[in-house]
Amino acid sequence: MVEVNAGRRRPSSVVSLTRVPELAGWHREGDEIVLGACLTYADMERGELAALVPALAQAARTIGSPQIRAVATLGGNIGTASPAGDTLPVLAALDAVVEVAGRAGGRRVPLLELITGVKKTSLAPGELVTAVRVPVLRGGQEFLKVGTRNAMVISVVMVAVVVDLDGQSVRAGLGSVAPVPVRAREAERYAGEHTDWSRGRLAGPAVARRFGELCAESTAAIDDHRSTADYRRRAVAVCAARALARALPPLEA
Amino acid sequence: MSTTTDHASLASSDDEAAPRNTVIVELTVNGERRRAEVPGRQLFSDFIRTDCGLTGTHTGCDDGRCGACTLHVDGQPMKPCMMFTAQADGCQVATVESLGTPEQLSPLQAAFKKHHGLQCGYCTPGMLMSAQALLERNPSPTEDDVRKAITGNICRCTGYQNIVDSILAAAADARGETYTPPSGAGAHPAESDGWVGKGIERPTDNRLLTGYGHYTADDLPVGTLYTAVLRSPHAHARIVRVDTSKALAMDGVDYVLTGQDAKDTWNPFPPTINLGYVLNESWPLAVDKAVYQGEPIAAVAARDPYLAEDALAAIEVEYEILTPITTIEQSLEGSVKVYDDWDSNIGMDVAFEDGDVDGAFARAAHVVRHSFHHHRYTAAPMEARVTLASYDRGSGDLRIDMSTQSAHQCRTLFSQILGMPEARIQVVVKDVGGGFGIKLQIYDDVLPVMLSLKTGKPVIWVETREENFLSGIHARDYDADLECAFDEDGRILALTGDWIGDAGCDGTNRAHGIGQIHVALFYGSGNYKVPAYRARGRGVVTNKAPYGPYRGYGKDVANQSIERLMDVAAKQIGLEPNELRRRNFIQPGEFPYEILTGPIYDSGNYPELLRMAEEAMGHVNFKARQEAALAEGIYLGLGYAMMLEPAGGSVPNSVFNANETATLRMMPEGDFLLLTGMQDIGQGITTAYAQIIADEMNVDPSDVKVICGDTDKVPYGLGAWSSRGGAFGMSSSAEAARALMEKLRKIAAHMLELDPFDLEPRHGGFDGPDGKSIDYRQIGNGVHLWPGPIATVPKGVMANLEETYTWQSKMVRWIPTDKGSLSIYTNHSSGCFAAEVEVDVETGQTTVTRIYAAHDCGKVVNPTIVDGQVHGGIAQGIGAILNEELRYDEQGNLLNTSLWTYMVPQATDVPRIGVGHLESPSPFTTLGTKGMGEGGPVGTPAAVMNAVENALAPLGVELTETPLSPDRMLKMIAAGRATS
Ligand SMILES: Cc1cc2nc3c(=O)[nH]c(=O)nc-3n(C[C@H](O)[C@H](O)[C@H](O)COP(=O)(O)OP(=O)(O)OC[C@H]3O[C@@H](n4cnc5c(N)ncnc54)[C@H](O)[C@@H]3O)c2cc1C
Ligand code: FES
Ligand code: FES
Repeated sequence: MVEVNAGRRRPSSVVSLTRVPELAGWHREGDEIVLGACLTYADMERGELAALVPALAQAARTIGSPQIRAVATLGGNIGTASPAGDTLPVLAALDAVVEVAGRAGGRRVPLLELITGVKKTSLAPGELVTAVRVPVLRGGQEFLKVGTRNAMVISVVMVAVVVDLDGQSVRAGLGSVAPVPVRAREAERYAGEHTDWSRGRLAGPAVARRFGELCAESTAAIDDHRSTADYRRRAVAVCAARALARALPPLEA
Repeated sequence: MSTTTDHASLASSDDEAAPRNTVIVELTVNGERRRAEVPGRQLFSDFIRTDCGLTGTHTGCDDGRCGACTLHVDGQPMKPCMMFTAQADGCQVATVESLGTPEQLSPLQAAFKKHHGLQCGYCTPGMLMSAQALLERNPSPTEDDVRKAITGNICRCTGYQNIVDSILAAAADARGETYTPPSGAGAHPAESDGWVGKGIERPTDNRLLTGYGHYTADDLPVGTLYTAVLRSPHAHARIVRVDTSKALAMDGVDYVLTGQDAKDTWNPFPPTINLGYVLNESWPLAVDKAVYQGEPIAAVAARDPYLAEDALAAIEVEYEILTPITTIEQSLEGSVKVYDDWDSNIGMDVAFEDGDVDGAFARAAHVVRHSFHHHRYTAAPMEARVTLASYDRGSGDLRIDMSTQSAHQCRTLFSQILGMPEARIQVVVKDVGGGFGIKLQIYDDVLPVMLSLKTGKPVIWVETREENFLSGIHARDYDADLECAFDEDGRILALTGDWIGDAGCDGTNRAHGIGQIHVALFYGSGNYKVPAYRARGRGVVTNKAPYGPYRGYGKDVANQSIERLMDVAAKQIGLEPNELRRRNFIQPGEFPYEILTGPIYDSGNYPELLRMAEEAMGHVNFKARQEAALAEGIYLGLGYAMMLEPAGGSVPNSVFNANETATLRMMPEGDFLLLTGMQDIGQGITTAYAQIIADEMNVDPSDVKVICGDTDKVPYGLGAWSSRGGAFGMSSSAEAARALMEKLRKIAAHMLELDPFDLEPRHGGFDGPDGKSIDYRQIGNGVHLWPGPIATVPKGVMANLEETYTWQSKMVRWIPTDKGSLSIYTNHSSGCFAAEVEVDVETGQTTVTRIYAAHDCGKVVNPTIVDGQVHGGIAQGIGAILNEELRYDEQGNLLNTSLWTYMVPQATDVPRIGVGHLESPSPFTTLGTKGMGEGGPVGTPAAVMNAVENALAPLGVELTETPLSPDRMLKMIAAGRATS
């Protein structure tokens, strides 16, 4: 809708998905959660879902205003494929898989393969996102966003950190720092190796700092009207370090 | 929620894919079932406003950011500008009109009225709908809950505090509790016996709270055409060819106006100010060359706004792109010129010198230098510009309804551009959704007028938010270079200032901003004694949008310069900044005080203002708190800035001149009508003026109706700018009342066969000796009806019940001395602003955690309204210094053209605001009042910057760039760390 009004698009027809019950809500299937494409941010912010996927709830809470959270959907956030889409780094960190339906039938695509560029997806004409699958994980999760102010702001930088205590891994999704959501693989590997998994703690505060620096190295940030590339890299480093230290508290140095 | 399946262009009417399709919707709006066939692409906000006629739902952005349009769909707050009407099919919709009525406000509406939760009222319906939804879900919200619940609703007037208090009070009330706003407010002046001095509620609020306001776009004559404007995508380009034929051939398009057409028919923009400036010759649409991105190229009038936009896509324009000038340096360098017929790009170059400046610097113990660049920003009122022109072909009369601050000047400017007799033009101003200076000129506003003349039909232009950023008026954007000589005790010996303003493409005609640098030059010395002063002010043109006022007009430039200099100097000299201020203040006993450049400061007590601010902020304990926080890695800072607000400007050779007239008329039935040329733009003058008349005439404010904003009704007057109401509007009204009082006394005495001196005024009439008494009604009836004037009006008294008074300031001196000193302001309100901040030195984010203003605007007429003005101004000041910036790239493309990227503060960005009052009455106005609308944005930015610099003192940071956005902050922090 944002683009229709700004005159960048003059659609000849628009399909509303609001009343398609199959796309609403969410349910659990074993160790997975299936999120309907029409799940709204308001749905994600609270209740049982927020407890199961806390980073998604944190991201949802930072999005827009109450008026927008009540209507804007997960499917729309994916369909928009904006570098600043708030749920995307969380979904990336969770290795989310997107269910797509089209005339030719359905398919499942990892989120990172679905989003191909700034506002570009690999959805074929007529294809729809119907659901998103994310795992239920044991471990801390943290979503941090830097905007130019506190709320109701399009992000300048986003970091989602997800800890999988059972799989003994740390995963980091970054947003607004490249045309598409990014995974900071090098940083993840480093953090995984410098964690005392038996106690579920980072080896020390320095690990979080180094993790942040490695995250910053995996970005391809640019200058734009919101901020500069240089600022984005620094902010990623700071946010990633803070997020990790919250999701996986360090042992005292 | 919806998905786009086709991206077909609607460029031309013969395009098969063009959606002429309609949908049928059935829905319930405010309990009433409706069935309608609407265009598939119609936005739901248009359906509500146009098809349902529910104009309480306002639009302020059309891209989901401002929240003015908020209504409830199936009980949820939603933004109908983000929905198609088709999506509301089957829904239950509730708009602001469903809450209460003007006669019977809902509890929430009543709380807004009681706590002054609205000023212009434009954001109010949306705010109420968000608040209502919150209270339905959560009957006991905290302040934080409330602020979060309204983050989607922008208010540009109130600073949010009174809105938050209104909502909390309504919630408490519903729980059977009473709400007392947390302290933070300072002491009010003692309540007077009369109406003046009382914070009475505004009677106008009942309309604005219930959707009964009348903003310009709310009432459209049948058959009104809509304007859409094609704007130059290039900052600097020659126009090779414009072909409008395809657009003109489209169904529903009545006319397409081009620059050449306008030039062939009408006159160029006349100047609005000229104090020896270089003027440009420009038309409302570019003729040969576009000089900024956003300049109008063509304007379409069409049957509906969607068709008008479609038609734009069918206009063909060929440009030859020229090198743009986007910085002051490029402009001064001058190899590219904005106007081919100018000698250079310099539009203004003025200088002043008095006292032995060089000698002072030679013997100074300390010489302090501070230079900075200040960014460009704009007012962004929630209602953008709107003009509705109705040319009556039968009578040849032209009526122009518009959202402006200055109806009479607009009338004259329209007359000059159109070459039309001025008396044939009527400018009508109804409710105005905020102005703050950008509605003081006519610019794009003339386009619908031209289209109405061409088509003979009513034509409206409702500015989009994007247009408002592109071509609405921009302010600030200047370089300042200051040097100050101090003796060993820190007393100022001499000051020099050099300011250069980036006036964009125009600071004299389309808008008059160049003069703000001129004003800065006059007030460079601020609240301090400066024995020797040298200053230069220049305004240069570039390929950016026109340059105009925004709640400041150079007072902000002067204030920011001297108050930043004070903190920088204190550090260098080794004194506390406030001690340095104290040593240099003009003292309370020295008023009226004439500064070197000519202005005469009327009254004030600067040391006391500073003391009040220090007390409110807990100054003595702050250092300990700051150190404790720093030990935990938290950077807290406390900063102060004095504020000087020259008010009531009287500028020669301009449309911002030096007189104001009021007519007070008693009705035969004994009530009163005040006609003023001042303009209510949400700041509440109609309430304040009614209080003044009520006291002068011994009646209640409800006995007084105040009329403004219709050039066919009110006497010639100049409107709302330069905070001139406190001097001009209030004085002329009070003087007209005093004259009428004398007339009534004479008539009453004649009717009672007494001597006028024997009469005592009393509520609603006069008492005489021996129980004789007469009411205003008896006088009014006596003069006009029973028996009539021959029997009741004494000789020598004109047989009417009205008096007109034209007030002029005695303080204004236009003949310069040989050194060039002048006096063009009557009042000098003052204040001390203090801010506490927390800076995250790793992310560069700054949070203002507390803010306080000690404020002195002379006699306070309505303290609630005054507080509201200060709150709103402070919020604008916080936004301005932290986030709001109009950024241009090297090609001259404006990068922030929506409220998404131009970040005005929302409720969560503004802390609780404390206001304390001091009353130093002005000896130069009838009631001792002073103008006060601009102090917030004038004083706040420097206070916040000083606080941030104080927080970062351990890192050796000096702030030389604004705004303090996170990226700039990190840069300046890194620079500080590197040098310290
Ligand atoms: C006031 C406001 C504030 C906002 N703040 C934020 C913010 O802070 N963070 C953020 O990330 N976003 C923000 N947005 C953007 C918006 O919330 C997201 O893009 C949102 O998720 C869109 O959801 P929607 O259902 O309204 O999608 P729509 O606007 O209807 O559609 C968006 C795009 O996605 C496509 N689409 C929608 N559903 C599907 C589907 N099921 N399958 C395939 N394609 C689909 C559409 O075709 C369209 O191209 C904001 C928007 C507004 C208006
Ligand atoms: S008009 Fe709907 S949010 Fe601004
Ligand atoms: S009262 Fe909120 S915008 Fe004017």
